[in-house]
This record gives sequence, C-alpha cells and structure tokens, in this order.
Amino acid sequence: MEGIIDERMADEREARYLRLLGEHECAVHRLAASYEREPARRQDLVQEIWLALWQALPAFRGDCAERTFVFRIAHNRAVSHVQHWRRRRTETLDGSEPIPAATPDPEHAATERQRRERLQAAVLRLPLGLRQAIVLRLEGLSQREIGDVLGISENNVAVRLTRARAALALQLESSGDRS
Amino acid sequence: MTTPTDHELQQWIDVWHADTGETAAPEAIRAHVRRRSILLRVWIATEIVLCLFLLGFVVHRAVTHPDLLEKLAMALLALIAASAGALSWWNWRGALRAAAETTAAFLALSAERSRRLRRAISIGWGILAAEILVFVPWVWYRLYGGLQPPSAAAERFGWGLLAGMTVLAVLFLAGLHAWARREARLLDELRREVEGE
Repeated sequence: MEGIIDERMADEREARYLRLLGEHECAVHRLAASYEREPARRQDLVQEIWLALWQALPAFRGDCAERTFVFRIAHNRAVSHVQHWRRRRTETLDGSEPIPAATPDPEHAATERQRRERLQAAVLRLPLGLRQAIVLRLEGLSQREIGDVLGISENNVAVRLTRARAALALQLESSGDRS
Repeated sequence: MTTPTDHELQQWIDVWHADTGETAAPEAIRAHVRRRSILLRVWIATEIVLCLFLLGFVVHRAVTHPDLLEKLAMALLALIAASAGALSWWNWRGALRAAAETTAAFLALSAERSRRLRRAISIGWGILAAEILVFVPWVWYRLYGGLQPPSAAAERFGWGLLAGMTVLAVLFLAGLHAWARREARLLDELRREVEGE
C-alpha cells in the first residue's frame, strides 16, 4: 500500500514537473540569458535551474504562486551561477560586452532580432539588483509578484524598476535603439 | 531624455517575449535532471557506506583486539569520528534546505552557510588536534611498546606516515579556510550588488 502511494506521489511530481517545464521553459531560457551571455554556459545554467526545481518540488506547499516558485528558484540558481564564475574570475555576463549598434535592416525579422539582442545586452549590463527586477517586469510580473520573488517590499521594487528602466533607456539610447 | 514611457516598456516586453528560441527539448532536460539526481544519490550513498565501513572497522578493532592499549586507541578514534559526525550535524542543521526561498532569504541563507563553513573549519582544527593526541602515543606504543626495538624502516614509516597525513590535513584545512574567506567576501559583494548598496 505504501509503495503504491509512493509511486503515485512520484508520478504526480513528474507530471507537475513536466507541466512547469512546458509552461516556463521559454521564460527560464530568457532569464538565463539575462545572467549569462556565453551560450554553452547559459545552457548549463538552464539545466541547473531545472535540476534545482526538480529537487525543490516536493517542498512546494502552494504558499505562493507556481510562477513565483519557479522564478525564485531560477533567480537563486542564477545568482549562484554568477558567484561560481566570479570565483573563477571569468567575465561571464557583467556588461563588458558592448551593446550592438542599431543598423537598418531591410528584413523585419532581422530587425526584431537585433532589437532583442540589444535589449538583452542592455539588461546584461545592469547591476544585479536592478537586473532581477526588470527581468521579472519584462516577464510580465506585477510589482507585488516581483516583491514575492525577491523578498523585498513593493516600494523597493518600484524604486528598482524606475532606476532599471532609466538605465535601460539610457543604454538603448546611446546604442541608437531609442528615439 | 532617458525616462521611458509605459508605451516603451510595453514595447520592451514584446521584444523580450519574442525570444523563444534555443530551448532544449523537455526530454533532454528531464534526462539531465534524472542523471544528476541519480549521481547525487549514488554520491551520498557511497559516502555513507564508506563512513560506516571505516567506523565499523575501528569499532570492531576496539572491541575484539586483545591488546588493551590498542583497544583504547581505537575506541578514542571511534569517539572522535562519532563526535565529528555529531558536530557536523549540529553545525549544518537547517542550513542545507532547498533554495526555493526569496532572493533576499536565499542570500541570507548563503551567508549563513558561509559562516557555518568557517565554523566547520574551526571544528576541523580541533578534530585534527584530537587525532594527533591519539595517534602520537599510538604510533609510539606500536613502535616501542614491544620487547624488540623497531627497525629504522618501521620508524621512518610510522612517524613519516603520521607527519605526512598531518601535513596533508593542515594544507587541506588552510586551503579550505582561504577559500571560505574568499567565498564570504564574494558573497558579500554579491549581496551588496543585489541589494543595490
């Protein structure tokens, strides 16, 4: 009887995990891109985030939204990733890369890609505290939800978002992506 | 003018969400997670089995050996090992939970882990000192406790092994101490950056 219950719990965990993977895969990928610009290490970070989620899933008791839960784990794992690579004194993400300049492109898709790359590069140059707040905002979270993920007050979130948006606008302006 | 409008923020959100590429197949991620979970379990199981085996060996020797001083030395060694295990449990209790906290709580927990690592190193120095206190008389007794004086080779091996192991342990603890200090400094920098100080 106990074996059957264990098996059912394992199945439920697996099903829930696969559902979260399907729902948040793109968001986790974007979040990883805001912490790591090198593709291979970014992919490692994505996998580490999913591993951390799998390990944390049994402890999830529904005391916050699933999306909040996923973003908490993802950001925490990403902060550990930054710590890991800074320990090795490897420049991994912290804004040394210049923002690609805006160049006119006849093809719309290419222009969109350029804009996305410039936005990602600009986000990568922000200090961690501002970067976390703006990434969550770009993912569509409200100020209250951002506060739930980061463990700070809504006022603090508002201050960080204002600073992050101004810094982002300034960087995009200097790279020619803002009129 | 650098103040962004809500319209511009919405444009950024749209551009941001246009990135859906480069994602790995769910099966590949699931396989990676499964592989890592198995590896972690095997690692933990191996550590437990190895520790139990070594402790069992020492306890068995303490119980069955005919020589009283050998019994005493092995019993003390088992006591030190058990104390190290108990101190380790006490030191790390509550600090190794899963990382599904808020970022602020996670950073606080990381700082606490860093502090406990430094405390574990201090405990490590104490355990090393206790082991030396047991092993020096034990080696002395093994070498000079018999009727015959030991050979030069046996003396070199006995004291050399003890000195070598002690040097290795000192180097390990000193290296770990330096690493832990650097880690604590790095963590503090990271916390300041995240908190916007």
